[in-house]
Amino acid sequence: MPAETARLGSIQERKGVNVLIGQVVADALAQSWRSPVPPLRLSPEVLVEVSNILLPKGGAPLLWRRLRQSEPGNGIGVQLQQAYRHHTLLAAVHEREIVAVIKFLRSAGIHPLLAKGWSVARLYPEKGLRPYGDIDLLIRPEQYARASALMVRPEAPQCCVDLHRRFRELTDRTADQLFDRSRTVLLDGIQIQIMGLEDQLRHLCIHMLADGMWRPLWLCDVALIVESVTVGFDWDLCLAGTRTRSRWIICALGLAGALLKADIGAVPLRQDTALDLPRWLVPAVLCEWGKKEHYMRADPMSVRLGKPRTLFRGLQLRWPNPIQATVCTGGAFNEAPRLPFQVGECLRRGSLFVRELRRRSARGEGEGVGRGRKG
Amino acid sequence: MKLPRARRDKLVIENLPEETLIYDLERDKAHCLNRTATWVWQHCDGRTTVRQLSARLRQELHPQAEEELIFLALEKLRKARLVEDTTMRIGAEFQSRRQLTRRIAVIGGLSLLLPAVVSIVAPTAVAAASCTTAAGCLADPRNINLCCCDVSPRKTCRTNGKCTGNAC
Repeated sequence: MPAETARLGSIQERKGVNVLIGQVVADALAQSWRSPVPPLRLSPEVLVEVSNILLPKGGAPLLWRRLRQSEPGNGIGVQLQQAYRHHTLLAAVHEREIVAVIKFLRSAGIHPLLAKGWSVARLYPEKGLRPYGDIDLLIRPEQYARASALMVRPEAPQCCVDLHRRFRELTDRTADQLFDRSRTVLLDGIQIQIMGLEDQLRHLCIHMLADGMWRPLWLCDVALIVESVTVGFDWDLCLAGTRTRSRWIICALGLAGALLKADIGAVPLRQDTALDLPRWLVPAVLCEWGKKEHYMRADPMSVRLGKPRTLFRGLQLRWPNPIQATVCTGGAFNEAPRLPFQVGECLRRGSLFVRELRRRSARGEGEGVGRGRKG
Repeated sequence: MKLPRARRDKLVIENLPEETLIYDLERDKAHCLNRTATWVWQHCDGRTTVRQLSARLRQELHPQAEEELIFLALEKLRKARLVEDTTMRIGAEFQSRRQLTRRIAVIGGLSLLLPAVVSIVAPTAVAAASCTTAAGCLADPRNINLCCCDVSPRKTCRTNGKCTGNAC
C-alpha cells in the first residue's frame, strides 16, 4: 500500500508540474497571433523548457515571433528561428501542393472544399506561423468515390491529401450545407473554396476538443478567428445544435480568453450559455500543454505489445484526458467528475483496438494499430 | 570564366524582410540567404560580370563593397548549388576562403555584410498531425504515406528506414 500511495503521490506531483509548465506555455503563446505582437522575455531555463514542448507541437514559430526582438540568438533561439524558417518553407511547398491538387480534381469536375490547414494558416500575419500537414478536402458524397480513385492514380499530385465525405466534428451539418455556406479565397491566382467562418470556427473548436487539445496551436487558431469576426458573423449558426455541443464551443472560446488572453468580447453569451468554465477544464488543458510526450507522436500500441515496459508507457500515454474523454463520449462540460468519461473512452478505444487487431491479423498484417484517436 | 547565373528551376523561394528562404526540390535541401547573398543571387543573370555586380552592389546595398564580397557570395551559392554553372571556379584568384574572408574584414570591417548561405534543418519532428513514427511506418506498409523525414522541409516517404526523397 505505501508503494501505491507513493506512486499516486508522484502522479499527482507530475500533474502539478505539468500544469505549471502548461501555464508558462500559455503565457508564451498569449496574443502571439496579433500584429504588432507583444514582446516576450523568458529566463534561459524557462525558454528551454517551453521550446522543448513547443518545437514538436508546432508552436515554435509563434514563440519565435514573440521572442525575436529580444532573443539574443543563443542555442535555443537559433533552433526556434530554424523552426520558423522551416515552417515558412513548408508552407510555401504546401501552397503549391494545394493548388496542384485542387487543379487536378477540378479538371475532373470535382470541386472540393478545403478545411483546416491552409484555410486557417492564411489568417496568420506570416506564412510559417501555423504549421500544418495534410490537405483536408471535403468532397460531395456523390463524388467521393471518383475523387478517391483519382487521387491514387500515378498522375495525381504526390502529397498528403485526406478526402472526407463529412467531418466527424460536424455530423450535424451536411456536406451540402457546408458547401452552400462556403467562401472562395485566392491562392496563387486560383480560387479555393473554404468553409464559411461560422462553420470553420465550430469545426476547429470541436476538432481541438476531440483531440484533447494537445497542440496549443489549435487554441491560437480559435483565438485568432474570434478576434477577427466582424459584425456579420452569425453566432447563432456557429453555436447551433444540441446544448451539449454549443456548450463545448462556448467553453473553447472561453479557454481562448482565459489562457491566451484573446479578446472574446464579440461572443454573445446568453444566460443559458454563460461562460463559466468547469473547474476541471483549465487544469486539464494546462496539464496537456505541459506534457512533452503525446501518443499521437509515439509508437503504435501494436509495436509495444511484446514489450511490457513500453506497453505500460503506451497505456499511460493513451489514458484519455478529461477533455477528449468527455467529447468523444458525447458528455457535457459540467462540474460532474470526469473519471466515468475517461473509463468509458478507454473501453471504447480498447474495443476498437481489439477489433482492428483481429481484422488485421485475419489479413496477416497485425502491426501499426493503435496510434490514432481510435486506438 | 563563365558569368554566374542563378538557378531558378525546381526551387521554392520565400522572401522574408531580412532573408530569403530557398527550398531545392531537386536535392531536398533548404537554405537561408542573408541580404548580401540574396542580392548577389538575385542579380546573377548570366550576363553581368563580377565587376559590374560589385559596382551595382556598392550603389544599391553596401557603399564599401568590394569585388571580394561578390566572389565570396558566389562561392557560397555555388556550394549550395544555387548558381547554375557548377564548373565555375569562383574566387580562383584567392588562395583560400579564409584569406578571402580576412581580406574583406580588413578592407571594410564589414563582417555583418558578409554573405551567408545557411542550411535549414528541422530542429525536431515537424508538426504534421498525421505523420507517424519510423516504427509505425515500418510496421505497416499502408502507413508509408504518413511517414516523414524530419531533416527535410517537405514530408518525404521512408522506405526501410531511409528517406526516399519522394514527397508523400
